[in-house]
Amino acid sequence: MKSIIIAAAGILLFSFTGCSSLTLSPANFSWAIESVLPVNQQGIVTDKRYAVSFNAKPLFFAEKGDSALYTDEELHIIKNEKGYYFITAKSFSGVYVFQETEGALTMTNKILLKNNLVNPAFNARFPWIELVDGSEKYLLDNKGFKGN
Amino acid sequence: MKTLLFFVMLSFLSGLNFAQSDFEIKQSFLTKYKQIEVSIEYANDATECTGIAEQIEKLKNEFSSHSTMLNDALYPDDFASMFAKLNKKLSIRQTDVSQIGDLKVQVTELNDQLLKLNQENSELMSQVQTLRRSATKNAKTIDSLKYLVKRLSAKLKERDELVMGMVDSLFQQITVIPATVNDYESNGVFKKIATTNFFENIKRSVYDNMKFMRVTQLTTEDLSEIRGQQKELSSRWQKVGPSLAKVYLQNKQQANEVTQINELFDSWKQEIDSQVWNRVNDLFVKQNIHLLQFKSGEEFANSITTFVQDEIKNYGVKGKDESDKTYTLFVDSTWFKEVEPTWLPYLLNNKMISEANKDSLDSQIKMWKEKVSPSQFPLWIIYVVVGIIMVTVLSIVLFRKPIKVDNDKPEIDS
Repeated sequence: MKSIIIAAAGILLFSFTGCSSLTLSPANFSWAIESVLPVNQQGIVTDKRYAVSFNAKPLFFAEKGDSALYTDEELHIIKNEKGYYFITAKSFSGVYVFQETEGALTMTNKILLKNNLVNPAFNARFPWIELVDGSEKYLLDNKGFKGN
Repeated sequence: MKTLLFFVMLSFLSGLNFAQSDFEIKQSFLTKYKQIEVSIEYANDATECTGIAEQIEKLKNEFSSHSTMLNDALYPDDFASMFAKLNKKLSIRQTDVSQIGDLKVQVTELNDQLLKLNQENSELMSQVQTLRRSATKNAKTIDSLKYLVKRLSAKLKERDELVMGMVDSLFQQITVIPATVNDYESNGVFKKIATTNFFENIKRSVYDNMKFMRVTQLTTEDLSEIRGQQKELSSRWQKVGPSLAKVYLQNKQQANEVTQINELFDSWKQEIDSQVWNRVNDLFVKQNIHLLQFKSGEEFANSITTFVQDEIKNYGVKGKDESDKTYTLFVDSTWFKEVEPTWLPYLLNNKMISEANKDSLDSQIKMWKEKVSPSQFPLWIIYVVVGIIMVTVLSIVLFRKPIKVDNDKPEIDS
């Protein structure tokens, strides 16, 4: 009986091992430089180099309360090593952090700033993302400012 | 106080340390890079190229601290490959510029030689004209005339080669640069055209060749050579002419020059044809035979046909001796002696008359000959004799008895 239980436990353990997910790590998803991309008339932003495109209208709705206020706007986008997208634009109140999900970008965080951004730009400063606005500089990750 | 204020302001401004975005660094790099690329494209001489090489080095030093970031940002290129590309472009342009520089030197030398040759040719031309007009046509005069013509012809050829050297060099310069007005300006094509008296030299070359034909008596060999020369020069001009016409659309005077030269080459060709027809006509005039004027193959054939048919129709009207004399002068002394052996092959080779024209002329001459000296022995007698011979031969073949061969002859025993 004891040996039967041991055999059954062994089979169960083996089958669980076979079903466990495969992880490739470490992985680095960071972009070397931000992309500054225009929003087209349909509200879509496309980055040819990284083959990414998404609908930006909900972002403008979230920021300005009007999804139609995207004409002539440019988005600053960068991706950190963990694969989070940092997105902002001129006059935005902060930086939006997104994660890739099935067929969508889903917001995981919004990093608010004291003042609206005037001339924002992202730099890759491993492992951080540097947000530059005039003479102001902030180091960010997907959770917020460095040190918070 | 003012100085103090100035220093305070300066130290305040320098203290403002504006953070720079990597994206802006990349954009700034690409803008400066593009500016250098454009400078390379428009560089005119070696000095400019050296200046550009310095600018490249400066750009490299300026952005070397960002090379790691730029390596990624410039994907699919990188910092080093971008500079390799730029240096390659500069090196190609340096080669082009040095070729253009060499050509410029050549053109200046050609210009000096041209001036000398033009002067010599003018002197020779006037000497030839003086000798031709001279009343005393003794052996010495004729010899010196021949010598002068030969020298003039050689000198003209030498000068044409120089002019065409200019055309070729301009052609090379045009092909290494993009064809818009500003590009031609920046590459000094217009300057070269102006400083080398380009249009004047070509026109002068064509004019002199036409004049040479008028002041000399040319043989078929001479005319063939001149025709070849005309074709050669014209085809070389055609390489450059249309491009220049396009470039000079805005400049009326220069555009007129191009059109004039095109027309001159056509006139030269017509002048050669005209000289040929004049020379042929002169052969008949020398024998006091006056044909209707002709300036083309068709007109030539019609003129001869009209003359011959008139002579056939009016044979004996003005007296048999007179008609026979005309025939002898036309056919024996002119047609068979000079026109047929010398000029007809030339006219045919240069497509100035067609084979059909020639055949028609041959048959006209044959008809005239038949009229002047009809065959003494009647042709029908020959036909009858040939007929009798044929009938006889056929009768022999058909009616002869077959020869019996006896194959059953018994063998004779020995």
